Amino acid sequence: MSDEELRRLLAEGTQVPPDEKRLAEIRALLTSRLTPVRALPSNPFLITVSLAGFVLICLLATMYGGHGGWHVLSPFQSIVYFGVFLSLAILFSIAIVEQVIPGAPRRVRPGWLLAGAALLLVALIPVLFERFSFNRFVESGIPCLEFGTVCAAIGGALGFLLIRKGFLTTPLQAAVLTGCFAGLAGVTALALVCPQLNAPHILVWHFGTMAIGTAAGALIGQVVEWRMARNED
Amino acid sequence: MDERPAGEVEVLMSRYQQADGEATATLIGRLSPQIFQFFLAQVRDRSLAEDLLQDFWLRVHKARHTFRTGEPLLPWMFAIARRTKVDQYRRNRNIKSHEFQVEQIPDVVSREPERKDTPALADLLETLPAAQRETIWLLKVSGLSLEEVARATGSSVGAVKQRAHRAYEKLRKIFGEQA
Repeated sequence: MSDEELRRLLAEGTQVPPDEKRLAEIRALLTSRLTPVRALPSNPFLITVSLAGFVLICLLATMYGGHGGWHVLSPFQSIVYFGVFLSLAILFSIAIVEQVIPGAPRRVRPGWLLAGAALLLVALIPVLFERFSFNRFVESGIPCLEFGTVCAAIGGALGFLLIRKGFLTTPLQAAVLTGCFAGLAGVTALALVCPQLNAPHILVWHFGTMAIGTAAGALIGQVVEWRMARNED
Repeated sequence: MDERPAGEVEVLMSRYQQADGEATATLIGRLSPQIFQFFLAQVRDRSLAEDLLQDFWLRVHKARHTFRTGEPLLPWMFAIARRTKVDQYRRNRNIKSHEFQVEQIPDVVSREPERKDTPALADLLETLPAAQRETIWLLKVSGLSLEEVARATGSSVGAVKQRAHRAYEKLRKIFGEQA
């Protein structure tokens, strides 16, 4: 089959118009509900708002828990550790904003970002933290996980405010990204507050916050998907 | 296929955002045939496609603030149309599970076809996987560019090219067997 034949065949498929009566109903339905709306602000503005929320959570965390973590890190550790957190925060903000605008170009792929973030953070541990001990592992870890989860929950609530401004065509992806981003806020807050430089502690109890955030996001995303499919949104 | 007016629908959309009733009615008239055909190609049921069209416009109304002036309208519209279709598919999945079984058994390629010089478009597209069918439809029938299809489907231009290439190869093969 030549391309020309195929094109002709495909063009023939455009001959069926919708029912005029139904179109009139739709016109009547929409025009009866018309109110002026203001278009969403630009992506850079939304990304800035998202990052401001991230920084706000970190500030609140240090106001409440101090900056013990910041003081025990060497300059090299601080630059690499917080540099990675900030870079990931920017990428997550971009990815989330792209999710809430239908038909927006997707510069950051959610799957790649999630996988890349997980690998990067795990790879950071042996580079930055040499101490490896399981002494009082659980007792010292639970308070960190609690603190990080509270920070992530606040981040998640702020993230929800952001994504509800848009219109989700991929609710699951948007919710997972928002949950992971909220978890990242919790991890960053813990890095600022917690003075422990023990590799297993950071891997499990700090980064666990991100896993919890991602899982919570996935759960919420599934519920939203389910509700949208039932036309309950 | 209708020539897509450059920028005209985007202007209508901006006026729709400002609650201009006339522009809203015109926009519905201009875009509904295209969107309706997109649904019809997927569901192959006129009544269901019209329901989907109404559902689609209600969603557009709800999401109209997310359209920004200066952006192309069609990827925005088709992203919402895709979501409408996905939700309908999920809604019906449990209710009409027998339709799944029917879909899986016959294969248009392998069954004994009626000899026709030109296969019906719908039959032809039915042989393609859903993602390829959608891509071919958006590219060749709705007239979206590769970039616009990538935006509407949330995938990369490379992925769209690959899907279109595979779909074309498959259609050529099927047509060759039927002719």
